Amino acid sequence: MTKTIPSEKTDRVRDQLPTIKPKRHKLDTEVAAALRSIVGADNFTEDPGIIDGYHNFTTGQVLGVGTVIAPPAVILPESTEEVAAIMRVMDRNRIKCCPISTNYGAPPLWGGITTKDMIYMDLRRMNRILEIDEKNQRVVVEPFVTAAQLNGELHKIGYTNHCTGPGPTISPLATTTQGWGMGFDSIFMGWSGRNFLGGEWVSPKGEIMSIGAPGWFYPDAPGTSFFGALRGGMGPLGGLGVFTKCAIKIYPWAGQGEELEGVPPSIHVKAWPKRLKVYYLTFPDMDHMTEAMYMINKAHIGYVLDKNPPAAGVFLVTDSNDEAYRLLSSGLVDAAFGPPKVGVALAIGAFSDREIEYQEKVALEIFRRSGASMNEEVSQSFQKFPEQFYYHCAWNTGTAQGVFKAAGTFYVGISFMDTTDVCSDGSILFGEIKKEYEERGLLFNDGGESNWAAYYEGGTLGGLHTETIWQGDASDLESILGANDLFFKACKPWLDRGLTPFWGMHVGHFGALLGGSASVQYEYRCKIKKAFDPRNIFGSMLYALPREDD
Amino acid sequence: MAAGTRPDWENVGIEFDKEAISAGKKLLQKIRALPLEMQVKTFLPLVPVVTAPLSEAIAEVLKDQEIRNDLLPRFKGTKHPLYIEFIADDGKASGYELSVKDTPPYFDFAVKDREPDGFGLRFLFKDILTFIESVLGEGRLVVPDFLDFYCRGKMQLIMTKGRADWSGFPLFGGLMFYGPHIWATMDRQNARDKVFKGVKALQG
Repeated sequence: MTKTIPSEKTDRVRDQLPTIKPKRHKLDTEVAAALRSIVGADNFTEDPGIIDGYHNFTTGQVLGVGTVIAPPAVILPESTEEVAAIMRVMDRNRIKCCPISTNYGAPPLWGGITTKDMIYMDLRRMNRILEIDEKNQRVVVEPFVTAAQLNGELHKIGYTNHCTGPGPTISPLATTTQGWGMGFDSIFMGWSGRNFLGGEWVSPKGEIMSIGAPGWFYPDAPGTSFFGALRGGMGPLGGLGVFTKCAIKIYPWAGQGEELEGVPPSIHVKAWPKRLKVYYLTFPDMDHMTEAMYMINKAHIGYVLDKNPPAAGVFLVTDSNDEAYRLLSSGLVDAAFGPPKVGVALAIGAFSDREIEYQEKVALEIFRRSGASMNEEVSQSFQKFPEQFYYHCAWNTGTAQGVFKAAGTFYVGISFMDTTDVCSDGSILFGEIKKEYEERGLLFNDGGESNWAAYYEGGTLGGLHTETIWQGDASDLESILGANDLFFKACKPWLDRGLTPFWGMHVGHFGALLGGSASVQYEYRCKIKKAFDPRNIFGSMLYALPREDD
Repeated sequence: MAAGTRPDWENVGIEFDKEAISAGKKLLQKIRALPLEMQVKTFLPLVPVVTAPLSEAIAEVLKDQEIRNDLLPRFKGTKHPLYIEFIADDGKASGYELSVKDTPPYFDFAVKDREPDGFGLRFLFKDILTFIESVLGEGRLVVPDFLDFYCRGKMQLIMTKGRADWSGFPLFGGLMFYGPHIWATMDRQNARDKVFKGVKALQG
């Protein structure tokens, strides 16, 4: 990164930030003893050294999150009953709780510590796949089961599970019950909330409730439902109780027949599957990509589809952070794949020979009509690319840590769900706004407008989910503050263009700022919060407040 | 703080000396002793006292042409006043209309009772007093205190009938970005003394 800001100025900012001695919140001795007695001394800690281990995350959107507030304690329950007992202690003593599983959520924005007395309930001991039901195409999992763990078992029997964009290290239970649900495979497997078949939920008061059990089929139907009340559109994001079990829909896996050896980024495909084909496409511009998206939607083909920034491809062909940094810094990637060009990953998957033949024929025609390049030359320059790319599409291996390894961390800013056209407009606009911050040396120039987008259910959920992503250096205060500045500065032009910011309109208190239906939804979330969590035990940063005036 | 490390925000803040804590506590006692209808009214003049040194520091920081080019248009672009409402224990609402200008003192506070037109912030007055008491009790104010306050639901957004006004967001981002500069400038300009004198004067 070349800094255009004089170095003495940046040093001055860093050095003059007034710091004072840390003073951390302590739990009341009796409360700590009560919590310790539930899980045992080995599974409860107030040790600052251990607690600081929970203060690390790849993203640092606001104020370099992850070091904003340290919890006074961390507790690790092993069972639903322990979770319920913990909740009763917390509710009685009005102690705030932040449940975490694989902890992709970034404190304090996405389900992390938000108040000084909030303690982490780390659910990592609840890590079992309880049931795999092939006949009914469902699994029952605990909170700390990861998508990779689940796919490891499911692929053996010809099935797979929906995995969200952050990659295979996430918890399917968390994404299904708590938040959003976009993924590379959403074109085939949908949105996380749609894959919910049942669950076991511990209320903020410590009551254990089942949804859909014992058969793990939730009779959801049009109209108000309990799960709908709990999850809503985007999920409570840790703001309403703890799910301790979840039944999730699974899907047939198109990668059957593959034979692999090695580990990423050096996977070798010994045998390719017959019914899963992958394409890394580059469109001449956003308009051509948009048309291709609509054609793919109309043709009802596709197994994996995501629009990705050039950095996403770099993670597949580089072995280290430094190598990725050098490659992106060279400008070669931007020149080859950057604006006005747009990159898209597409996989077609089928379950009969005729179907894969049909899908391939249709896909190639769409590529022709939309002027898409299949980038054969990339495979010549980076010979391992096709195998790594296939592996990513078949196994969902794109971790956030991998994709954004060049600069060190990533930030997610203005993001939304809308029609493909609107998302494309937003991507171009964001690219223009972001460029200024790259030129000032505040953010890493990772090529292009760096929007990531996944396609949902043939457009039935609006079309695209789009995230504006940028890379920065979490150890650099200017980079952190610059990312914040970009986030807020981008709001106005975004809204002036009629675009909806903040992950759609459903998240936290921001809905109230948007007016119209977003405000009404927020009002309802507040009522639900007040009904189930009147003492605000689970916090409210990204959900709703149990307001006194309701 | 070493270069190249990100701050631990629990260490970023200010500590108050005994004299300042004592003055703050006396003022709080005075406010609490007042009849309900007078409490908020007495409190309202405090905010401009606290923000006056901020305005002075911003004026100083804006002498840097690079910062001026970046920040001043954001002051200009902030179209609608922000309405900040306090609800007293008797349920009566009163508050400020905060207007932003692109000339000193940049922030104008006008005491008004009205509905917000862009969007507004609402506080229960008892929550504000509790927060100040807590800060004085700790003898320090650090960045996470604000997050804690917000996440306990102590700051509510006031709904709007129409679309909210977002024109102030770029300014908010800019003030965060230049926050360390502004903070350092306030430190050099003895902002704490100015606030302290202002608070003492309000004690009467």
